[in-house]
Amino acid sequence: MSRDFRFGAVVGSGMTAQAADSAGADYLLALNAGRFRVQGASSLTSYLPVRPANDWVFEFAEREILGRCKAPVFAGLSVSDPGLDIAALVDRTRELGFSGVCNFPPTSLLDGRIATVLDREGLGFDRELELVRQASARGLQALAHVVSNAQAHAMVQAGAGTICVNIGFTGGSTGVSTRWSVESAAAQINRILAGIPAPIEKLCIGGPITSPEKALAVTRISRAQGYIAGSTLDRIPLEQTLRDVAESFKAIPRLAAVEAAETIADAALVGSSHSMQEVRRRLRDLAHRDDPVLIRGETGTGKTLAARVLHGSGRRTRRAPVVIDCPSLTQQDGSALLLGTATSRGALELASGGTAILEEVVALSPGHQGQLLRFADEGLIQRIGETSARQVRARIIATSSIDPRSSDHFRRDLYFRLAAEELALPPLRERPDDIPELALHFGREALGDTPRFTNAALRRLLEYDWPGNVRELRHIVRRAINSADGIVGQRHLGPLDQNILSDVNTGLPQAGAERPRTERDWIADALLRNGFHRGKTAQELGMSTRTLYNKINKYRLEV
Amino acid sequence: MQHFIITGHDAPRTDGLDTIFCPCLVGLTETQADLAFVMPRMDHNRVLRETPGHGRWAGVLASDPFGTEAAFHAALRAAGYRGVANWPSSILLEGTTRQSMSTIPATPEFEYGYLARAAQAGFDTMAFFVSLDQARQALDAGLQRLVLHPGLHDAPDLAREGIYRAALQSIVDAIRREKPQTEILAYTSALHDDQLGLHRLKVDGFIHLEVAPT
Repeated sequence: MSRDFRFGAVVGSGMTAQAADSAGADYLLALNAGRFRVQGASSLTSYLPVRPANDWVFEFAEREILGRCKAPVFAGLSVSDPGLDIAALVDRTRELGFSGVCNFPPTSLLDGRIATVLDREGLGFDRELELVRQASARGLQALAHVVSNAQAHAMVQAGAGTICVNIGFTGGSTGVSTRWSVESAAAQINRILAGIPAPIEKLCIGGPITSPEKALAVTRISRAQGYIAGSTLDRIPLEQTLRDVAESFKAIPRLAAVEAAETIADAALVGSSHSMQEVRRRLRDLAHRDDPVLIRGETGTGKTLAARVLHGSGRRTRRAPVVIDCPSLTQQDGSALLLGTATSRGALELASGGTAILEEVVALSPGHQGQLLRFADEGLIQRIGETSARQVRARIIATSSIDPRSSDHFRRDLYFRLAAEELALPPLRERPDDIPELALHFGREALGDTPRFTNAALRRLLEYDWPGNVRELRHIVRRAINSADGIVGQRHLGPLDQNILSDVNTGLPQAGAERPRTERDWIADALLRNGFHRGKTAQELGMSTRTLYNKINKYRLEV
Repeated sequence: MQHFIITGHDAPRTDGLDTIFCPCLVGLTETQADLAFVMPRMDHNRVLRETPGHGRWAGVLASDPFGTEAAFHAALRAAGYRGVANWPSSILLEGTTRQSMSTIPATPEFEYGYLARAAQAGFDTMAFFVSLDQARQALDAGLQRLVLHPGLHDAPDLAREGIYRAALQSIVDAIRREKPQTEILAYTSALHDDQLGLHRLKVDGFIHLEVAPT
């Protein structure tokens, strides 16, 4: 049975109130906690004698919220002050134009002897009940925060039309810890709402619910019909967004530098999605450290390019990174390539003072893993044919398209050394918002000017799931730009999925062919499209001819 | 023997006793005074700033997240306060409330750090505490004048006042053994004296709560 999801927004300013109202919030709760949050303080400050809670709520609500929003506005009122005249308070609430009241901050969230003494003095829940009674008697609505079934029933009897189960202070990034999981919170909500009659609206707030998804999950498995968002509405998303935007401003000079040096790398990191902002933030954080980093991601997500950016932004940037293509290291000469010989330096030694980038590190043979383990552990390498070890200081950045822990052949101890820090590059299908931005970027790269796409073309790009990720998108866009005359339309994109090979006469089955999923398939397809011309294929795939050659060997695609 | 009055009432005194002005206590009974930390009914520190100190002490809400300590101290100095105490205080918080409030931050440790900085800024200080652990934190922060609060009692057992007082005295004695030069005062009120006989504690002085008119 589908139920109408009720949504209440805790607001502490005109901006948050109007935003929530325009998004269709069913209630607006003007609470001092909301005001504290938009001023950069903790919600918990709402309990302290830092502001006169009720006067403050009246002031900001009257000035910024009341009369400006469609949703009913409830005043969060504290009644723990023994000198407070509750009837007068309710009268003032009504005169100002509030639709209702709610007991906030609820004393029931306090525990220990301070809560016991509050109740014993009659300044706790009993006084909040009186607030609801008085409000109800004066025609105001009442939304009651409760933490027990007895409180819920008492509030309904006092006239509350909405019961909000408070599962404690909101956890997550607020710094407050919560003992509730979504499931246990739902069970607790059900216990508290047991026997509350249907006309009463039933909501929940706090605890482990820190996102709309969790709110929906809780309401699906509990009696709650909706959720009141506090920190989850303003602090958590606002702080994240502001931090991201601010970091974007700060990152502009760095990204410009990366663009000059690493056009392709920058392309791999294009995207305003949260996940790519997080990737860039992590890269910046990791750039100036020496810890080994493992970069994971599907084929085409830009692992090696991210590794180069990491190197290029760090302290060792004066030396070019040494890139080691692990799948191409054969049993015979791999050790010599890695460690060197009596007469020549190996790749790890060549990286001394700089960075060693180990591409697809999971492909290393057990013997090479042992050699790398010693290097990762002690910074020692022993050239083949020599009897003493040499100290080499180089940062290790490894990449892998699979989780090394899922490989039976990859040493767990080496994984832990290489993955001191781990960075996951998201597949393109998980950040579709970045596709238009990337398409424009690749278009500019190909045209030297900003390309134009029809909406239909952009929609098709958005609908495709990009098994080859950014690399595949780059190819498609370049191909479309070449075939379009000004504006890129749907037809210029060609078939994106099963018929992607149709523009070359490959002899492969066209209809019903499976979409390429693996890197092997992806390379095989590109080879077919380019008539097995390795140079053209490598160019199309955005990799060096040598890397392509190594991958052909790795996947046994010899032609 | 030192004697201080702590009060939320801003009125000149004629008895010559040192006073700690603590605005959030106004209108509260002896029992309710211990709840002032979780009663959001005023801007406590603002009242302090805007009320002439007349050489009194200021009971400061150290956990107020707004403003800078430098500006606050300058305002207290300009208003004429000579010392500061951490009252109202987080020392009485327990359980999840204590854990959650620590995110403000509102903790005894934070308050003692604040008092240490106030001392560096030239104020006399006194640190309220309710347990030996808190006393040690205050001493670790470099504070030398401590005020023992008897704690909250959800159901005072008058028959056990002697045992209770002995427990408080043992905390005082333990502090003296650990740091003999520490000045130790005790917080009390007419109710506390009546129910627990706190005035019989062997301490260096008392902070007497004066129940102030609204």
